[in-house]
Amino acid sequence: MTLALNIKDLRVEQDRQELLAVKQLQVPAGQALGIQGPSGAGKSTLLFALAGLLPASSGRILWGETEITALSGAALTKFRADFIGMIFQDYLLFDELSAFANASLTALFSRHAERHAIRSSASSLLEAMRVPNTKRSVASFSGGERQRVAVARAMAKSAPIILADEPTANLQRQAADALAEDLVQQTRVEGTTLIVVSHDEAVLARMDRVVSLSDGRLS
Amino acid sequence: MTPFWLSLPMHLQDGLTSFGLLLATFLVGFCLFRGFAPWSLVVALLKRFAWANALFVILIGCALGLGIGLLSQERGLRQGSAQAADKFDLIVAAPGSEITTLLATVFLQPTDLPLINGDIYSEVETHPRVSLAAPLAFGDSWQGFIVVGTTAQFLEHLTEGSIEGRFWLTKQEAVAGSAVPLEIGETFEPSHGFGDAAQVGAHAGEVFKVVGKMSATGSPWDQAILVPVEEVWAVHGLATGHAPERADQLGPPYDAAYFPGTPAVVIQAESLGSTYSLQAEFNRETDTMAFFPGAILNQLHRLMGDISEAMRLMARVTQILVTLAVLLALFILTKLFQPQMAMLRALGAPGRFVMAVVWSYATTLLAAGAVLGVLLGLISSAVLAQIVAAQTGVAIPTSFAWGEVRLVLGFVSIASLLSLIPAWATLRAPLVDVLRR
Repeated sequence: MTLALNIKDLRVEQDRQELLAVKQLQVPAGQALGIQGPSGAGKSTLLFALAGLLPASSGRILWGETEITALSGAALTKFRADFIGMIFQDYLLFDELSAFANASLTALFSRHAERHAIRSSASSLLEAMRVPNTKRSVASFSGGERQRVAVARAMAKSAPIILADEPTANLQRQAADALAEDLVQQTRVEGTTLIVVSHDEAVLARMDRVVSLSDGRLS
Repeated sequence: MTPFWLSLPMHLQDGLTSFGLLLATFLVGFCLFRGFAPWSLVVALLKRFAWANALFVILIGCALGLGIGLLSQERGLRQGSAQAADKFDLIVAAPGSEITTLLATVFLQPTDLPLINGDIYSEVETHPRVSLAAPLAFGDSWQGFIVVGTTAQFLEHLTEGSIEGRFWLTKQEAVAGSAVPLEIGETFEPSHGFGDAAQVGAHAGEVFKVVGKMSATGSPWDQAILVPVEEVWAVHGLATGHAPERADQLGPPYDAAYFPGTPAVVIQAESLGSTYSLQAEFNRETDTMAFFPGAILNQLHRLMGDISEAMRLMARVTQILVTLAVLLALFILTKLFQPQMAMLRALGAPGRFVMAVVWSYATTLLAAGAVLGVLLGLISSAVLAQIVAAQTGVAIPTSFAWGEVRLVLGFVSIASLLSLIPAWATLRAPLVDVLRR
């Protein structure tokens, strides 16, 4: 399953201050979109809005046929669980758990019938991304390995959308390149729509398309 | 209270009450856990803040241990003191304080008491309803252990015949309590008086030989050395209770004319009814008082009951304060793992799952604290019992009763329900702000 993105007249405000104003943005299903821009431009705000974590003051965000700006509460949470995988700059792993336990985390709150598939997928992704298959906790892993675990976690439930927020910001060049390669490759295999917020030119160069954001507006 | 409830056996009532206390926790757990498997994350959180968690558990354990120790000791003291008075059906003494006489006779606390004379003693001894009358004589000690003069008949009554060795046959023989460091065959020379005021050598040359050792009774009499009352009187320069022509006689009957006086007479009546009639007969304002040690202890227990009620109230207030402290600590602890909880929500974890993780984490700490509290309570209770036993000789039974079960389960149950508040607060945290930090 793949999902296209369609944004129309989106405005996000906080404390009556406009953070984001996107008149129109369309991303075909399966495309890799890079979002660049200076710090404070609203890149992460856009990403969080696309995940339904920030409410829109006005406008619409459609993932496929689903208008997530019209969803709230449990419905929005369920949409995220079913369709969106997220990758964070600080990995946000459970340091005490193994790579596999972290990568298959979403199985813990998924339906029984889906758990096996998630675990199986997590295992395959970790193997494909050359993450050490060990029971030791991820606390001892390198930054690159940890972020790969986070990528596997985002993709293990076969979400059609991956949203990544500065996924290489904490990695050294070599590790960043390897991670970017893995991320793009894995999403291509699955036909996943990938949206990456990044300052990293090497990451952005691997995207199908890059848009720039400045002062909360696409330029 | 419905008649049906009251008709149930006490243990069943206690069991059902305890189950009821747990039921709410189980129901919350069932509702939160249904369809989820959050335990690996709970274990991760427990590992992540191991020191903070350990301190948290110790705090709960100490608070609960204090409450358990208090309840257990109060009950143990009642049981132990009642058991100590078990062999003392009725005591006749000169008019005065019943409590002072009780402490002197049953609990062997050295006290100056007025004496009853030979005529009154004879009246008691020869009363047809009296099956056993024993005079008591105090005044000496050996290395801190009180020496009590009495009769072999009373010794037999006290020990129910359970004695290693034999009863005394001569005036210079003694039977030692189970806690006295004197073995059969050893001799000792008593000092005059007790404690710091004891005069060593005051009875120089007066040597007793231990011929018997009492089995443990769990009473202060375990720390006493019993000797023929005639010899106690004799070493203090008094008449021996018998006419000169029967100077070697040990035990009753005593001759009123040669009876030097006794602070108290321990009486066993022929029947329960006789005990009551004897108490009524000898409870005279003029020359004697008669009382049931058990009844006086009950009065003391009632007084203690008021005190223990106040202590229980204080314990409850402490529990409430601890519960509030626990709640506050949980708020602080949940702040520590907010980023992980925010990540879970961002990945689409339902709020119920996040609450299950936080609530299970809190309830695990509470349960661990409760287990530690039970252990600390039992240990502190046993230590306190030993201290009390060493000081008074009263054996304090330590046990874990339904009162303590209710205290522990009540605390865990209420604190566990309250921990839903910080769990719910985790959901209310501004998600994006936490993720952006």
